[in-house]
Amino acid sequence: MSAGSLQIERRSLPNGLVLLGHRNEASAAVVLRAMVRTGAIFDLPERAGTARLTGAMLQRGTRRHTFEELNALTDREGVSISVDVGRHTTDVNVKCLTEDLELGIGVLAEVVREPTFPSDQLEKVRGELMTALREADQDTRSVAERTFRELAYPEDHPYRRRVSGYQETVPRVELTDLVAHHARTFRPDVVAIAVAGGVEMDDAFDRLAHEFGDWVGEGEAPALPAPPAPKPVGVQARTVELPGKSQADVVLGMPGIDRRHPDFYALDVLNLILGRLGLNGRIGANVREKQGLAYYSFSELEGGLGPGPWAARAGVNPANVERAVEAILAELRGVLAEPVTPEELSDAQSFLTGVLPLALESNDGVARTLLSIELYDLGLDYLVRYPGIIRALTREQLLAAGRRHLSADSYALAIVRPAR
Amino acid sequence: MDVRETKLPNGLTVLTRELHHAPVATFWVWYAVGARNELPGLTGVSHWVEHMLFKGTEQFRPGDIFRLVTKNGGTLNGFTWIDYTTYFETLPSDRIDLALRIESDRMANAVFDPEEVASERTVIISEREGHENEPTWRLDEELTAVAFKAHPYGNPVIGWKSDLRTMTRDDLYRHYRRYYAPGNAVAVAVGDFATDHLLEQVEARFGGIPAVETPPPPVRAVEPEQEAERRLTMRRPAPTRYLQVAYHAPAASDPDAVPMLVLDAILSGAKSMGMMGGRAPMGRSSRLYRALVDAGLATSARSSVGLTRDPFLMDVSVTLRPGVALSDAERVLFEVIDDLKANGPTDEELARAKKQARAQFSYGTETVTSNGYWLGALSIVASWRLFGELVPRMEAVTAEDVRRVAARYLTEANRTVGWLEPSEAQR
Repeated sequence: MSAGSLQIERRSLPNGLVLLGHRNEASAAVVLRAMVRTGAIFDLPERAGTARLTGAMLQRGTRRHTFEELNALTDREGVSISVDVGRHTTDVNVKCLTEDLELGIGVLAEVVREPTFPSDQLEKVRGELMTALREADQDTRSVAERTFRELAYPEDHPYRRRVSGYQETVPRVELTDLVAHHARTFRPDVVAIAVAGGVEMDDAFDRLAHEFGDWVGEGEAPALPAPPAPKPVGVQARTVELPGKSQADVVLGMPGIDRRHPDFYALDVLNLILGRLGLNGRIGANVREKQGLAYYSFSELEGGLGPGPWAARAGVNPANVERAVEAILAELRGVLAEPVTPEELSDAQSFLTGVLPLALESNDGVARTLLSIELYDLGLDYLVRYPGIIRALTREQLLAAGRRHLSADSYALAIVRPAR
Repeated sequence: MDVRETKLPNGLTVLTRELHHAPVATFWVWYAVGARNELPGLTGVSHWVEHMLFKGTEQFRPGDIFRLVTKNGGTLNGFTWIDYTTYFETLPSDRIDLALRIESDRMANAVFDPEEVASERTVIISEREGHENEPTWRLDEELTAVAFKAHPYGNPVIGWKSDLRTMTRDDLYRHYRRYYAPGNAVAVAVGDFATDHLLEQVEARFGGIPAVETPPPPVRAVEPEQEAERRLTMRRPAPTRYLQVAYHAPAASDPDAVPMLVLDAILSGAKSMGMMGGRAPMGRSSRLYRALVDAGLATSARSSVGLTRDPFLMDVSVTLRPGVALSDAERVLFEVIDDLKANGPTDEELARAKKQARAQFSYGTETVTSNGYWLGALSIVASWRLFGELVPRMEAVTAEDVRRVAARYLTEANRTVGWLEPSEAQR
């Protein structure tokens, strides 16, 4: 396998469901990852957490098995199921040994298509989520993230809300909300399933077609909203205090751009240089390496189907918060003032093109890559084209993209400190 | 397992394994030094030395190592544990010599510039303070300290804060010179290469590093058998109650170590063995999940046991649902354990645990990086041969073996029980 030569199989079923696959002959296992284009973007503000609860309930009982039966069945064969709910996607991930492919596919189908949402299980799942929310609301990083979202996005914007909901909203979610969310937004024409591992793709696809082929969606799939987000006006800052903590956590940023925006690659590479490459780019070099202020300090561009944020994050001693924020802003100003150096650009380009074989080594990595290609409509030749896209970027394009989408004068700043 | 073991004249052990599923290779150097080798006043020294090995050597200025590896399309890291300190690079296989260059240079030539030491002091204290923000980390640190009264395994790998404030550049450098010697290290290469050629490269890069005549001092401390249950209650701001119970457990080289892994899988499912995101949760039919989580007492209940050079701990961590009393969760946990001690697992449970272990092994060893990790870690704590033997040995474990190790190790006198009670206002 060379970087660009990942052999990808793709098949569309008549009901609109898409199958993608890559065979890894060396593997004794297989990953089956179903991506459903639905998520927290559909949550009502007062019932935030609906999609997250729906995701957790998928495994809590199906038309074929109760929760206990499903656990016994999967645990008996070492089959692992996990569900990740995002804003625009809900991923159901099944991992099994190749000898258990049939079981794995059956489990995937019943969990995605046929959950029964038993009410006693909802109360268990809700209790677990409520405990997790209590933990998050006393965790400095989580509270910094929540506060940042509230400062960076306007009142009614879905990106302001937490995917997992809140202690105030999760109790309001009713069983009927979950059933309705599933009935309305889980449908074959918004599903892609990636298969990666030591199985024959024709065989796996035939079995998947058998399990998913008769699934019918009524009418049109609901459109996935992705409303634009205005940039913050001036500096929107807030400090929150939590008891019993040693360290402060800081998030500084603003709404960013869609993964499909023409500036995405330029902005992504600029961010790589600013806060990721090497030991977290220029921000890491300044905040950690030069000043010794923080164990972690980096920046990230979320991408995704909407205006996910660009944000820098750091964990620092409470006495050093201002210095760390100033250092992050200095580095942000730096990349917006003049082009990055030719060496920085070339290092970033070599990293992104060179690291592909590592990203595609594991079945998980392959499955995620295939689903990204599908979600963002990148085309099956994407991995072949990708090095060319990256190498064509210029320093001036990076600077222009940075100036269009980032600002060192208008941003949201969330600080969570130990209570004094 | 097709692993080749080679010893260089200077004492360096080299393990190689060819894997050709992808054009990548990983290179690790493992040093047999960690928290178990640390003395009072110098806890955290191994971990700090690890940080300093990214901060400049003869050939590489601070920052160069990260920059060079990433620009070559690689990933890298270093980490420190109770038994070892290790460094790795995973790269496109045609560039693996870069990793050999880096690791051979920093085995002998790290500079420990005083200014870099000073700036790293605050970075490491920040790393520790980030952990301190998590109530469960604090409970674990306290519990581990109480569980050991003689062996250094009771000290946190990151070190006590007072030691981090006072440790000097010379303390760090002395530790480096004493333990970073070819004879105290194992190099591991896994991936898409030809072994003979790779060994020539290793010989060229590492062969000139002189052997160290004085071997590092042995760890003589032996934890005496625990004779009475130990208990602690921590009261501090926390979102809910947490319970953690730790039992002294056998070393990796002990014949009981493998049955303990099966016992762990029966208690809460076989654990992921992956590095770099190979997680594969399972175990919702397990005893702890059913008795504590499914019964509504807890939101999570997990056992864990590691493979360690000296006897360390098997522990169970429980996150309680708000409103549930610690005494109730504890009673249920001990009922589960007592039943296993009396009756052992059912045949079906045993079969399930073994299949899970086989599956986790397969999921967790897909990548060259993960293979490098396991070969190296096991070579330090017992023998790299355990890597290939792990699943067959687990498959040979009987229900009676599981009952026997449960009855031997999961006793009242052998346990330390930790409660974390949220401060008054937060219950």
